[in-house]
Amino acid sequence: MAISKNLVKTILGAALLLAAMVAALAAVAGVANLLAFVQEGADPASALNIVPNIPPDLSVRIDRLPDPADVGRTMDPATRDKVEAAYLRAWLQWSLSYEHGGPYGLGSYFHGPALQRVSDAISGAIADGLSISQVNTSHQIGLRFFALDGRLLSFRDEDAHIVRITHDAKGNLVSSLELRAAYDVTMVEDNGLWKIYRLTQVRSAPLGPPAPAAPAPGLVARTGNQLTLDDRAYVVAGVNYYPQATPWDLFWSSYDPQLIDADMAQVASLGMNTVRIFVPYAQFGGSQVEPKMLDRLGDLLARAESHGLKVIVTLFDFHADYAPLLWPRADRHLEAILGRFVGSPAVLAWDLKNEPDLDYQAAGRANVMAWLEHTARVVRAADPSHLITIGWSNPEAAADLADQVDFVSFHYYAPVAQLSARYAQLRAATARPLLLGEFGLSTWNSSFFPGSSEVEQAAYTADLLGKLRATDAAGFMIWTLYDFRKVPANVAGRAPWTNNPQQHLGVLRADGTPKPVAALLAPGASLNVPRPTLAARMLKPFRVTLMIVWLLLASGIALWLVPRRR
Amino acid sequence: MRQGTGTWRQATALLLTLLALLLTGCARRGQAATPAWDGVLRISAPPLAHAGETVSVLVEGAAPDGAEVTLTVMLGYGPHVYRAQMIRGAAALAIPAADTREAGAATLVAGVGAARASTSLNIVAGPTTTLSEPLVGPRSICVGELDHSLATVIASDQYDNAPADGTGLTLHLSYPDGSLAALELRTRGGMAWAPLVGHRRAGTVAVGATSGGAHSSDADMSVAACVPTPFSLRAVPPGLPADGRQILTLRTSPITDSYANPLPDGTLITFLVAAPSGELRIPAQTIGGVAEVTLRAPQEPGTASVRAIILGVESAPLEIVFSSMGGLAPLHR
Repeated sequence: MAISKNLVKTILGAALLLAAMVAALAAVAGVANLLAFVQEGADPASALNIVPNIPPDLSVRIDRLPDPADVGRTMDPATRDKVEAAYLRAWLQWSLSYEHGGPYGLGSYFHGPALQRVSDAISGAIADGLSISQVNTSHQIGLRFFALDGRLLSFRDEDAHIVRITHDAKGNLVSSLELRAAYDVTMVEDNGLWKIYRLTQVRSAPLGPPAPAAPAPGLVARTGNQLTLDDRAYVVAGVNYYPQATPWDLFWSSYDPQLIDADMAQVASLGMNTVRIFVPYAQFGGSQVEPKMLDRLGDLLARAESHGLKVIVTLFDFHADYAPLLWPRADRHLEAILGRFVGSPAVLAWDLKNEPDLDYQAAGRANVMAWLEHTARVVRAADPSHLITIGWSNPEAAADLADQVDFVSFHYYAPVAQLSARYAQLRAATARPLLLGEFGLSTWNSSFFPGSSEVEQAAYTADLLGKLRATDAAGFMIWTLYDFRKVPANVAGRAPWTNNPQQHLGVLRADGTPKPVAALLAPGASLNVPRPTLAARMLKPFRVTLMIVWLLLASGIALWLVPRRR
Repeated sequence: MRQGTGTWRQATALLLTLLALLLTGCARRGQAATPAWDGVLRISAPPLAHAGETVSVLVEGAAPDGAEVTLTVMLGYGPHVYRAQMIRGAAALAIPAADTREAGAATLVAGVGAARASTSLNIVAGPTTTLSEPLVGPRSICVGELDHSLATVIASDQYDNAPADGTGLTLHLSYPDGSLAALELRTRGGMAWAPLVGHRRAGTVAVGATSGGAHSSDADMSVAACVPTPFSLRAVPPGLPADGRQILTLRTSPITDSYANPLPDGTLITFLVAAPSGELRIPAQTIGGVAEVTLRAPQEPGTASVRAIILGVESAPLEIVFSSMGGLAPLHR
């Protein structure tokens, strides 16, 4: 039966109308989700500003100085604990009052002139339209006097670290300061509660950038704008690492020492000298780090070292809550990990956070920056010799806080042609060593979404490394060792065009066989690789699909226009 | 057909509109804002100021005229923020007197654009104007030099600031015998304290403080006899017939400390009576240093031995004879 032209036109018209309806629906209901999918990265669910509901003394560091001889009355341990807890709770209530927007529950912790002063200060700041985030992260208490009747005492808080981030009514950052201060504190017992009666700041100075890493034998150091190891240049040739079958959240929970050992051997056999790994904050126990996890991290470091590899340890993975009140917990997390590996020659550097600039929108740039500065200081205090870096998501973001780190690490997933100019711009902003901490090209080559072949991946990598060799970069780290069969949705979203590419960025295929790019990663490796032919480029699955769609559309439009000309 | 063509045109227009909308969404964002000024900024302020006085601050830098200057004064209890505008490379700001009442170290941070500069300011407390009533604890101690209390005085200037460490303060003591004493002290952290020992005379010691022109009200401290010297017992009458009806009184001699101060009224004393029919523990309290209890005569004749214990000090035993033929004299040892 012959199909009339009108029927064809009707069918095509209906198809176009249907397409229009789908497009309208997508425009109304889908654009927001689409943007969210496109921008989706690490799970931001924990970015909610959650007020801590555990006693602050569990996380805020408090050191005790020895009591002097003429203290009045010897303080028993139970009273000392009670006084310290009351002091920390007073600070917490003070900080919570700023969050609350007015004096809030201060009468339980302050008394007399101190209650008046702290209430006035908070009310005044709020009346001026200031929004203040405050946190106290550590204290060092030296008792001065304890009355014989046990109801009055004074001490000096010799080394208090106080962070105050102040925004004005328009949300503009006014100041972000971490102060190292000393306070003379008088406390009285009032109806069984110890309260601050008077608090005088006797010393105060803003903290500056952390000191540079102190050189130590066997540890990678910074010399000028380069990395060195025992006075010889150390050029990073590395890979971001997850096991093939257990990436991201399955890595540490399914830790398999033999598998790790084999993978480290594989990395070394490809000629690379460094791996970058990720330590998820919550999975490691948060402020109370699980010894089992530390053992696993220690095992990985030992196995990497046995294969001649250095490790960049990226901390605080999947921790996107920068609320200042939670900083002390993060500090304890850091100290637990760094304390264990402070002298480890396997550790090349502590990477404070992966792509923190992507959290600016959810957490506020000022909070993120202030936390990074604070964390860099905590790392340096706990570990004087290992290098510090931050894994920024692009070269422009990496100019931030360059003076706070030992080397600057940036990620790059953009066209090769832009690399030199963007690198030069970053170089102009800092004299620190620059490391390309992540780059890669996915080999997911779908019929329905644009993609690249393994040959194109190798060509991209060769071109990029060629550009990089022309700079003074301290090295590179490709993303990632393996292709994965599944990537968690909280890493790359659920959308196929975000999740599937993430599965195919590996140097090795999911079955462990090397892709062509694997031959390019050893230092000094030849970058001469076959280029994709014109036919190969033109006949990529997605382009074929596009051509078919265009052909169909062109046919339909032609058929639609023919009768009008008549 | 024509109508149909119109429908198609409308559909096409709708499609083009949607396409335009989508393209609008894909359009490049506007140019980024001009980078904030990030030149060299200087801030100068006097290193020292007195509480409650206005402090002038000068911020200098090559920022353009009209650029906003923020001055954050970080005091112990939180920040104050002030604003001004740069004019010919400088901005003069004043921290008002009302905001410098809190003594202590302050950090001053000036900001223009992305540039920051900081300095420090030490706000010194004024002279002492207020002294708390001396906090004496314990409120009651023993006569003599073996026990002591502690008197603490909190000093403040007119804005409730702690005076500088080392500020002089005198503690005045008025003893029960009328004698006076003065202890010279120095403040530390806004407080001064001194141990107080008991005098030889029991009673109330008045404790007050002065510093400069400030003086406190007086606090009282009680000094009492605590350690009794040996004492004795006596019975009135000294003996009774064992008739089960008559009563005798047991009384201590005046119980005092080594300085002849009687023990405070109400001090607990326990009489221990050992009789053939059994033992008795009779609690009592001293009045004027003397305690007494009463005993009823037993129905069976015999001898009872009586002792008394007060604050760990035991009297000599007293034996009382309850006879069948009438009262017999007690045997004293």
